[in-house]
Amino acid sequence: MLMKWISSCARASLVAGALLLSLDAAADPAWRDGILLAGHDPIVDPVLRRLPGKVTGLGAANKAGRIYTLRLQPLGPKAAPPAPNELRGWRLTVLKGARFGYVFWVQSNTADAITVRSKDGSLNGMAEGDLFVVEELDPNPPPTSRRDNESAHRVA
Amino acid sequence: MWPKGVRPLLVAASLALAGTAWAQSAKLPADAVDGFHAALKRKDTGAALSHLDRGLVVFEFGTVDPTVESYALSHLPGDIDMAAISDWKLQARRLGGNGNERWVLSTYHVTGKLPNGKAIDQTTVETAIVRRVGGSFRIVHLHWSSDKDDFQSWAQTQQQRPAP
Repeated sequence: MLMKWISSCARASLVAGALLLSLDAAADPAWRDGILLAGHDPIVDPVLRRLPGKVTGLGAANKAGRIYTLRLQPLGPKAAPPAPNELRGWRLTVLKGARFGYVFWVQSNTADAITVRSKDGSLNGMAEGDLFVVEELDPNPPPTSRRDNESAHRVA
Repeated sequence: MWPKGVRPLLVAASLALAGTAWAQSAKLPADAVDGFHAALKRKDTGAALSHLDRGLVVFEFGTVDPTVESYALSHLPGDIDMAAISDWKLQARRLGGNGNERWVLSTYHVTGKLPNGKAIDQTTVETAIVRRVGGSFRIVHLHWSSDKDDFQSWAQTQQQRPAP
């Protein structure tokens, strides 16, 4: 009886552990060990300078209720805060959260905040914990990079 | 202008409509796959994401990205980098499935040059499962592998290394 009980407990612990691990992996992919080294990534030089980041908060809304500034925490093993306006003109793509897939262009930045230009729409709908990547592209970017999805921006 | 209670509803409605509008891009199952590759080639992260379903799971050279967010953060940049230095020529394709769930099997001849000067000349096979949501197909699953043993085993060796 005791052995049965111990065996049941051990099985339940294993199932719970596996569940927690999978939930953890799904909740914050940035910290899954080894994932950045998988596949072919390490043998190819980056074609773009990139800064992946996590939203730690949003700036105040303007009088119209629109938000254009987010506070960030750089992600990754070699992450460092950006220099002031280092990211100006770079493209910001949302990778996790309600605004997944949306694209903005950086107007200015400090070490811990990014302000996007207003003509691409506001950051409303983003929240603490959302993930994004900022990538250095042509300093004179097109109005939108979402050529496969231009109508989404009109609605936003 | 809008009463306070109405504003969140408008934002939610806008986001829902945006999602619907987003889904207009791939009318045929293969459009989602080809559109995704085209977006990688032109380094367009947002457009690449627009072809991916929120339930995406990626198997790539023995590794798993269990969520679309995980793939977007960890492997999508590498795939964009790889696409930039290589050409993917479609060699063969088969399509199947029915209703809203389809599969697209593709074989590519991939050529190019690595930064170390080594030539890329390999066959990459791709399994894509696509799902129709609204009027368009999006990729739910991708599985890539290569005919080059050294490349495959090298990639798998990298997974054993501790994170930097």
